[in-house]
Amino acid sequence: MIQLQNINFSYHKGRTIFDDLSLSLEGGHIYGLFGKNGAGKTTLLKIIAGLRFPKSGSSTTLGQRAALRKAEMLKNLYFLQEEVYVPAISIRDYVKCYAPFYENFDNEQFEEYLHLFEITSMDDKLTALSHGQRKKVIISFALATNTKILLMDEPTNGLDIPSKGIFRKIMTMAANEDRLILISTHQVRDLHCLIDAVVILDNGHILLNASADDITDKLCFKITDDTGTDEPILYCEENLRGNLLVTENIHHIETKLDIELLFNAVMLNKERINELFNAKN
Amino acid sequence: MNTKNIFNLIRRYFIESGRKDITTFVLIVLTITLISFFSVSGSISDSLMVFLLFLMGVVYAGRIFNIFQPVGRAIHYLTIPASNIEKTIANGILVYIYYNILLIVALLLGNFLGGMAHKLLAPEFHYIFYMPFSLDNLILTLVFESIFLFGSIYFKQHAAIKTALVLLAFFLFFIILDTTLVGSYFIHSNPESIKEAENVFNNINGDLIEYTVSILAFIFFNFMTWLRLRETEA
Repeated sequence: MIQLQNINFSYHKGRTIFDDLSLSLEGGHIYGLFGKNGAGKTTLLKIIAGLRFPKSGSSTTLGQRAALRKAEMLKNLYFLQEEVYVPAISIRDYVKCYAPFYENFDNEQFEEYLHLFEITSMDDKLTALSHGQRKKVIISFALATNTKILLMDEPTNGLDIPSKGIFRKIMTMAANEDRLILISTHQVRDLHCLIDAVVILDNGHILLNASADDITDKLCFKITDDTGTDEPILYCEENLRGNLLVTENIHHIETKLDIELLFNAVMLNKERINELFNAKN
Repeated sequence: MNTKNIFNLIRRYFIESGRKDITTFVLIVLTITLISFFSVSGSISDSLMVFLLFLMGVVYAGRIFNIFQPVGRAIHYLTIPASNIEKTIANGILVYIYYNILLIVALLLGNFLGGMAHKLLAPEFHYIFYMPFSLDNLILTLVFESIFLFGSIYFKQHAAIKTALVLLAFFLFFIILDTTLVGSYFIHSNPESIKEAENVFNNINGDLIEYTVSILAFIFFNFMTWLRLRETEA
């Protein structure tokens, strides 16, 4: 669904953001996109949506050159921004304005999501809502468009604690076998149980692009009282519960993916991770 | 190109900005009513009104895209599922057709109301219903609107003012060039060749050239608008 090949990108006077970056993403997954501040996560989402043009390389989204921003592509892609922009109209009018552009928009779904987020009045003006409430409306709208690709930039920023739980619930409802959801975030705990594939960006390259199953097949995440293990340790962090470890999964033990530990392990062992996952970059 | 997308874009505009336009319309009608009421002879007020409407038309064109600030607005607009050509056409329809009709209706209505009010207070006053628009005026307005439409996607901030300044600079340059060249021609030419040049100019069909240049400029600036929208990033 998304193919980036040998992408080079830099802002006019700034440093290089992507250097020969290649990435392929398929439908039926919820990808988590991670990277340090300034790694280029938002820029990557923008290139996929055709909002930024790479200096060289090709960016293909749904079989179309993304930079052309053709209607056929945009009908099947929704880009949820971190700071959502809303016009000064009611929720009802927003739906009247924008739903006709999306062939698969489902009003019942939209109302159900709003109901779950406890937004009851469709006549409230969007600009009169708080940042968090605006975000809930736009998240509900984005999911109800039923586009094949959904790009989300820090979707849980601005949501209160109960809303983050509701967000996970509706994301699970909205995900399906055809849909590709790419979530860029720093809030790994918010989306832990949602994400089934991980993409890690660093210094203009993709360090890791693997499914959760593949990761837990090759790496082991555990808590122990000591660090005594025969498996090579990639990362160790002490906390009140004991030592949090990421090791190579030599004995094929089944453990639960911890994205935060994974991220730190990847950052500390770039070459080894590359060897383990046979990443092309 | 999908006409449904163009329709949806225009519909979106009316839902988002319709109320603002109604307020503007009422204010224009009131202004023209007042000008019309207080003016005795038509000529000065006609020119003033036509100029005001021309100004409103180009300022509207110069603000129609208005997508760059904040960045979120640009992302929002550029990801609306319609192609760049559909977005250009939808804005073109709003600028060239909708807003001009709105202004003409406001002018006629304001004129009529002003005239009627005048007649109520001074029964001897003969109200003349007139249309101070000519084809030349309309073509000139469309050309300027197409330039300002391009300016609205070219400049990221204060597009209408910047476009006006660029135009002013261009006309000043043109006047200086024209004065210098023509002046130099007359100084260095003998009376016969000047007369010959006058004959050539007199035989040229000025209207045809004017219309052709205007149409070409109109097409050119709309094409440039589409190109600029295509390469706009957010």
